[in-house]
Amino acid sequence: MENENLKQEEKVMSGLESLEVITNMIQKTKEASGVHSGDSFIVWGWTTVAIAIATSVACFVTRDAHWNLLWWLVPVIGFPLSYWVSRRHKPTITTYTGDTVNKLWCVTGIALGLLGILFWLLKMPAIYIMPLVLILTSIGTSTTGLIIREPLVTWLPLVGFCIAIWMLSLFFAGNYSFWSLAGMGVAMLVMMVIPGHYLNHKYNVKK
Amino acid sequence: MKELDPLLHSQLRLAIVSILMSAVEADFVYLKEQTQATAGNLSVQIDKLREADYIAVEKTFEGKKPRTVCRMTDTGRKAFENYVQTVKLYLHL
Repeated sequence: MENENLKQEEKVMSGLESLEVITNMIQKTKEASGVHSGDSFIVWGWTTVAIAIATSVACFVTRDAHWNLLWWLVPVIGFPLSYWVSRRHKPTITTYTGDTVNKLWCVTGIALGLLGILFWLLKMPAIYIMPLVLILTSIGTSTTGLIIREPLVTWLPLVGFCIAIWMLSLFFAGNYSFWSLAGMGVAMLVMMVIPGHYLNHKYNVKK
Repeated sequence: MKELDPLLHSQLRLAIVSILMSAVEADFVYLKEQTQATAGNLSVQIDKLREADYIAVEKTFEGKKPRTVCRMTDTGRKAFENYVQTVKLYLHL
């Protein structure tokens, strides 16, 4: 092994071999950067789906809208879980693509936080937060898909966008039914959970 | 005809630089995995690149574990670009 390594260093390469080394390493880096790239989608997606089911069932059974406070569990569970997963699968390389995606979600996260704070400060009806969260996250997921060049991740969030508009139409008509809460869960399942598992399957299998 | 940069015209050093050109930064473990070099040999080649100011090396600790992170410098980027241009000339591309 040691000898092979010494040969690797001393070997005189032809021009073609040089280009092969360059291409091979760039390709390997591209593939490695995708490993565990679906983790965040899976964590936030499943957390939201679970809370959506719990909230929907609780509101439906008790007919008490106060159960909507359970939505606050999304960041309470999501942030520590996301941190734990990222520590467990800490990347050994930071690509430009990964860095851009991280910054994109940092901005989206701040926008989501501001949304909650502004709604609270301006005393706006909290129910409207949900479709707006869906719109913001669908834009974030689609943009991620464009950056990493994955058509499935780019186009699936449109389902979330449509569900958000449907929820808004219900709320504007004064219909705050349990189905609108379930819609949040379905949207997150389609636009975060599926792309997350798809990305992990695609790149982790290659690894 | 223009000479190929001898520092980059080595399989292992070229592999290291190619990885770093397509990344913001990469740590030692990643470079070792991808190049399949031994830790000793990789350290020697990283040192050569660092001495030429082609890459920057940062040694930190993560908890109790030491971590070495490498990234390209502007000098390294220019050298790599020149190297690729020269190879293309050799190959008439």
